[in-house]
Amino acid sequence: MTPAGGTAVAERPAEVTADLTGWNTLVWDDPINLMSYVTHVFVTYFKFSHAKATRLMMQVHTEGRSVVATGTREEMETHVNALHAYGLWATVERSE
Amino acid sequence: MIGFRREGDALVAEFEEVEVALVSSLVAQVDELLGGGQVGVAPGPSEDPFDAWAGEFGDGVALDDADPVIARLFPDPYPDDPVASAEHKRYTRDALRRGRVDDAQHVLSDLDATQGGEHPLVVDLAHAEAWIKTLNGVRLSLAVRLGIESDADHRGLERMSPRDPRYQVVAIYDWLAVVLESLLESL
Repeated sequence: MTPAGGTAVAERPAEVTADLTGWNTLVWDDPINLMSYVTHVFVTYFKFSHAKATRLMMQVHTEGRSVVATGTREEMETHVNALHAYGLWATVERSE
Repeated sequence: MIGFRREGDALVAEFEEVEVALVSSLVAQVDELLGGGQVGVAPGPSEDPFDAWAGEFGDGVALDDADPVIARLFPDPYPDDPVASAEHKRYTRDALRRGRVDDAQHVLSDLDATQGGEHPLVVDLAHAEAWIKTLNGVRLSLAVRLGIESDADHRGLERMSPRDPRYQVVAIYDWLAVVLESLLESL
């Protein structure tokens, strides 16, 4: 028995938060989509600055993938749909 | 082709007759694969609430899932979970499909207005994203047909003999990249 319930109570909201936002939208590298095109999609759809869009595009290009958004599963599915409409190779995964 | 430039609320380029015919034909091929091709139908989402409802519940055109181009245009959102992917696609794929078909209609209509390249190609800024998505979709479909899965594949294709039947397709694929870059730069 724990001396006080404070610890357990404090942990619960943290878990709820993790569950609500524990999903990522990933974009994967492919040899087809042009670098300028991928940057354009990030700026147009996510409204990222050109600098941020370019940085994420380069991460996709050099590391093979990049997490471009984090949030609820439903939000990530909306993003993935929009990215698929642009022909990007995007997936949803649980964040670690 | 003389590349795109911004003129007021439009992006303007000049295409030769053969280029208009080529792009029209490639866009029409993808459009057909997606169940489009109804010439003369005004683009845009259906205003009939029943049509919209029917589409939303997956009562749309059946796509050939065995076709790798379809697989590339509609990727699995959960690569390790076929059940979740199938469930997601069931509710979203027809809207994606209709979006691509509507975009293709805008592109075909703008190309048609050049009367075989006699007049400049004028793309209203409101249709720029439709053009960008459509040209990219054509490149994706050509890349799948050419088997381009890595940068090395692409480099290998560029070294092939002009007598290879794929030689022309690679040239078209690369030319479309130039067209798309030009469009993106003109925005």
